[in-house]
Amino acid sequence: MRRVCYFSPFIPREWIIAHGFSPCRLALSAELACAGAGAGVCPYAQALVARAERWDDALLVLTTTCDQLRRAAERIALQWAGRSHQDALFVFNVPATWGRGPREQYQAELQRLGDFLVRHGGRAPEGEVLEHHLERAAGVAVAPSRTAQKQGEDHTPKKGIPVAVVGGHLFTEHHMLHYLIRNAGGRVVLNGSEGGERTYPDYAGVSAASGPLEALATAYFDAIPDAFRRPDTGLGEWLARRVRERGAHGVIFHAYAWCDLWRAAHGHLAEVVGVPTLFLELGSSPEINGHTRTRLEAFLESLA
Amino acid sequence: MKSPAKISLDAWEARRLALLNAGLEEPWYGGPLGRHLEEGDLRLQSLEFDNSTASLRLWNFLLSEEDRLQAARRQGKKIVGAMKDLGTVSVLASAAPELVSFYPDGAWWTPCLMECSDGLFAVADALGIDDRFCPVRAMIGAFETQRHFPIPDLLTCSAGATCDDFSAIAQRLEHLGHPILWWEVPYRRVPEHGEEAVELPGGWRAPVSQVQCVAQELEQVRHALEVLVDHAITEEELRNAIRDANEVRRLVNELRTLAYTSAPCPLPALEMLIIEVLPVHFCSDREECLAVLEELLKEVRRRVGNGTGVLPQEAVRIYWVNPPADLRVLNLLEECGGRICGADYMFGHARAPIPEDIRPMEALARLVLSDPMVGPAADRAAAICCEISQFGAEALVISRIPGASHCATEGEIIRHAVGQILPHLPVLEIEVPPIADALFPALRTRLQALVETVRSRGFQPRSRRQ
Ligand code: SF4
Ligand code: SF4
Repeated sequence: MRRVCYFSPFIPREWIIAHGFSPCRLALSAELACAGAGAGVCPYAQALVARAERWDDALLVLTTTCDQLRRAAERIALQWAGRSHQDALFVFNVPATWGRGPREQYQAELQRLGDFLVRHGGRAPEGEVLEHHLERAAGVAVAPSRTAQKQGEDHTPKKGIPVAVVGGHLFTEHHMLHYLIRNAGGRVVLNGSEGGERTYPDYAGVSAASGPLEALATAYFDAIPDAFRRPDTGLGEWLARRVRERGAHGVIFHAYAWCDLWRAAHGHLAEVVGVPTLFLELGSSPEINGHTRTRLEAFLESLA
Repeated sequence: MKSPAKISLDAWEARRLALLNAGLEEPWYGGPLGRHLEEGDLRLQSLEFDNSTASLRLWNFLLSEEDRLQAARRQGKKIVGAMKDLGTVSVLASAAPELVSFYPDGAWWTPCLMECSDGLFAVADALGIDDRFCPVRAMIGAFETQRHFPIPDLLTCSAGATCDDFSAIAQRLEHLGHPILWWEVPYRRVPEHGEEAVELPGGWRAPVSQVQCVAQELEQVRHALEVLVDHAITEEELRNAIRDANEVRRLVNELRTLAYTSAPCPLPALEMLIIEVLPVHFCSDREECLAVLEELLKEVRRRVGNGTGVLPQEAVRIYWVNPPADLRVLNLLEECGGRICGADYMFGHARAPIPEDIRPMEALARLVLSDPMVGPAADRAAAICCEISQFGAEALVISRIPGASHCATEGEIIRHAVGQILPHLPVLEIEVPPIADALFPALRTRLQALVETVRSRGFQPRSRRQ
């Protein structure tokens, strides 16, 4: 089955499956960012462009959620021009604002994505097939947040200082942040990074009978708080509520160099969470440097 | 009558007195340029100005905007702070006489003008908006200090295909207690095969569905304006507003054509930059804006007719991309033997004629999507190439803006596109911070090298009007 690669949480995997493709969430390595990252380019977007340089026959779905990604998509389109996979890129416009109009735009983009998949050999999903995938997705999506909730209520084992981790993209290597936190005496009770529970769809109250586009807009567009949404009040509310529920004693924010959205968001989020916060700027090296580790350790020590 | 020339601020003081003695009548905001220096616009003393009375009026008009806004408030008008769209909400607001609009984005140039004595960057730094962001971060400082413009009665901001710097800073502003009406502008995309599409002002095409989305969003803005003035804004009023805006745009375009194609250059780059800014929001007074432009046009026509100008005939013709954060750099280019023949200061849509033969809200929606910054840099590059040919530019300068999220990658895309269409055109990429004094020796060397490269290649200065 042909793969469709993507990494934005706003791309519903069930929509891809229903069109007969295999969804594949791209994981990027920091190794890719090292070569050629210029001043001003976020390493994650840089890595994406580098990754696209060695492309196979998969389709690639990118989103417009930040300037760096929009520009990366453009660079990839130019890079692929004249190659066999030049038509394999789809740029999905995720509206930043809320409201009826932007929501309709999101649905229209889902439809446009569906048409793109059909043009590339997929099949237009029929009602029952789609309902089946939506129901399965709803089951899967609910599961991790239940687990997380349980973790929050239960707190077993209770070793380590409970902290939340929040931010945007993370290279595969930088997931070691969680390991470093554990080593420094902490315990992650809330994962608000991209790919973590902040970015899960919310199927609560969604009925497949309302039609697939409506169901997906409710589960994804209406539900996922992010730094690019305008206003981004939902992000602060989500974080403050979860921090309270999970009993986090501190929040660790992370953002890559030149990631304006998460960098700026941290200022306000730090004001609303009600617990001490630490901001970590991560670079393009696969290693998390000594300075960052020391700050992390000092932060956890101060919470002890 | 004096020959056209560039003169210093001091020289302007003496010249203005002589002109007053000879009977010069100034508008109510007129006066010595030096008073703006006393009010803190320290950069003025490092700049060179055109010596025409039309330019004196232009500078005074520009630098007195805050007084105008304060006066409007005293008269009971409502102030609309439109953010980011640069040239659409201002047209919408101008349909209601009780409204006056401006773009807080203009604080972008305040640290340059005030040589950072304003402390705006320090305020932004304290709020976590440091120098990783572009100079528009000064805007948040201006709101916090409340010293550079009155706090608007309504703030709007376009979001979606907006640069991250602006989007992030505006969001921070909202959290600081300045409510914002956000409206969506989608990233302009190429219409799909068979998809219904329309031509935008400026020539690009966009899917009808995107135009409709923007029109719907603009209706929200219109509604908010109506609530502010407590009456409906009619289609007729909108049509008139568009027609009047187009009159400003027509004058600006005529000035561009004359200034960028005539030899010798009839008006310096700095004054032309200000002229290009005017249609964005008419500097808060459309009638006066028209009068300022008309006087400038008269002066430029006169100079072109007499074959006189402010720079040597052989000045090398440069196309400039992006607004320079330090205005002094445009003087520097001219000192190095160059002249501006065309520029993309990132708000070209503000001077594009707005369609008058379709529904006003749809016309404005098309205008929004013709913003060079809401679509691919390759589109922008193609438009730049067209203008380079139209104005006969012999070299290209891409002026990077420190911290701007788009600048890191767009230069490469523009270079690439220009290289394909105009393979022999010399291209120089520079970075210009708000106060570039420390970099001037290096910038001078690089600009001189560019000018020499053009000359050594034997390009002939030319003009369609010679
Ligand atoms: S790290 Fe930030 S700037 Fe980079 S791609 Fe992710 S959201 Fe965009
Ligand atoms: S200079 Fe660039 S990054 Fe800064 S506000 Fe303007 S468009 Fe955005």
